[in-house]
Amino acid sequence: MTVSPDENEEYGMAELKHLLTVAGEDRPPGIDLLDGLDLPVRRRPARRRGVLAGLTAGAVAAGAAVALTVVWTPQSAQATVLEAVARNEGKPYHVEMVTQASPGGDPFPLTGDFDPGSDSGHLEAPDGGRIIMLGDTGYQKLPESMQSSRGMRSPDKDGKFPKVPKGWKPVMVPLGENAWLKLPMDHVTWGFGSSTRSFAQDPQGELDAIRKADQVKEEGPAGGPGWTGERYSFTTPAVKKWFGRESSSGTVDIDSEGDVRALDVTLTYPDAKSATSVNFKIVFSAYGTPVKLSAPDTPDLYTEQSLHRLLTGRHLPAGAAYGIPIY
Amino acid sequence: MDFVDFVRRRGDRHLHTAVLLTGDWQAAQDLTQAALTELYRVWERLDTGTEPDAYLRRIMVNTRRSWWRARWRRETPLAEIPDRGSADDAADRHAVAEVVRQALRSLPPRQRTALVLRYFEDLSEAQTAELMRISVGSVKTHAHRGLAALRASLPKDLLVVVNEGTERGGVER
Repeated sequence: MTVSPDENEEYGMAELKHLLTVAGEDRPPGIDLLDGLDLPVRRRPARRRGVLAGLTAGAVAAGAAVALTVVWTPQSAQATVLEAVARNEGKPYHVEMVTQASPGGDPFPLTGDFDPGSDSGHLEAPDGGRIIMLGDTGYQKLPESMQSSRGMRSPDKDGKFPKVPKGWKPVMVPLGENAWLKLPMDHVTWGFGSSTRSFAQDPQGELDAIRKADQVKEEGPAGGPGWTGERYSFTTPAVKKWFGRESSSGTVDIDSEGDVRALDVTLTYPDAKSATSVNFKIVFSAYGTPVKLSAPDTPDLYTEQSLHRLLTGRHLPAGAAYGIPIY
Repeated sequence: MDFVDFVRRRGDRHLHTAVLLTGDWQAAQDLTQAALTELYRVWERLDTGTEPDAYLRRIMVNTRRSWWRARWRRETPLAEIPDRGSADDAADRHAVAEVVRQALRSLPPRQRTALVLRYFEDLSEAQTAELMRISVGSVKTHAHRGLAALRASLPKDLLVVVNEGTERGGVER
């Protein structure tokens, strides 16, 4: 088939659309969207934990009372939790969290604010570590100096660094008192390679584990400063990720207004070589309070290119992520 | 139309979008069913001016985005694209489908989402920007980069030309 130059302008798009269509036409047998769809029982407001399932009226004569039969069906624990998860989805919120990898990890506290609506957020660590996330761009706080690798050979194709040359001493390069790295969010590395610390880019995303839960149970009352509610436990079956299997279990606290107040979830990785689990304890608050974030105002703002060149003396190939792990 | 009718009539279309966004059928089914569960929750409160398709699409993109943003929920770009070869039509179409899905999977999430919403769902730049909660300029950037990356990763015999209408010249298959 020959496409004329006049038709070429639309040909590329037509071809792409055709390929996108073909990419979804080999649906395997056995996928049935209605099969296994766990539809929640319709319910009234959060405080009332039953569902009006039926109403019958007895015959009415003049002056006689109407006889009503009301059947209440308790809403499932999972439906209650999912409704609470959905209730504040998309709203700004504040978190206080502690993460800990096991074995061998120390608890690592973090504080942050997130606004899913504007795709922004920030997280701070007690030692001054900080990341600001503004849409597609991240700003990572840098230390006042970093070690230079000038004179060192590059890692090989497997990422393995060569041995340090005899007599080589590390040189610390000053970056400035208020140095930041600007990088695409796609390049942010959340550094599970770090022994003790980890970040979550969107803490409320951890609530997603509950959507996959195969068991959600009511555990009993829960409470905190200024609120009371219920605690639910959940477990999710192991799923295969690219790095191995992942399963999760934990508890979620929901207050009497139907808001998620706390999440305590442990992600377990039986196939991992080092740390085999990580726990997040997250307290959510201030739903709906506006979050105002902006890029850091500093003369010491580096890009991946400029920082790489400063520390290594080499050019960072186009498209390569600098890959500084977040602590 | 009641909810089950909607799923029967429109579910496949959204499942197709989901497999383009996720790259595999199991994840696509999970995403679609998760989104349908959320849609069911609000089904009776949807007003007559709200299309369930648009609402479901929004839920899927938001759900997908939060999946991407959770730690370690990353897909691996596959190292190899499988051979296409098979004389059988169905097997050949499956191979082509898998090649395209793998190429899509290798794209960063936002580029992939922008391409799927713009060129499969046929949304405008403004509609795509609103769904993805980014600017129109960002949509253009992600779509442009996604197209370039897709062009680079697809086998040359599969896709003769993928461009943005700037290339000229006859193309012979």
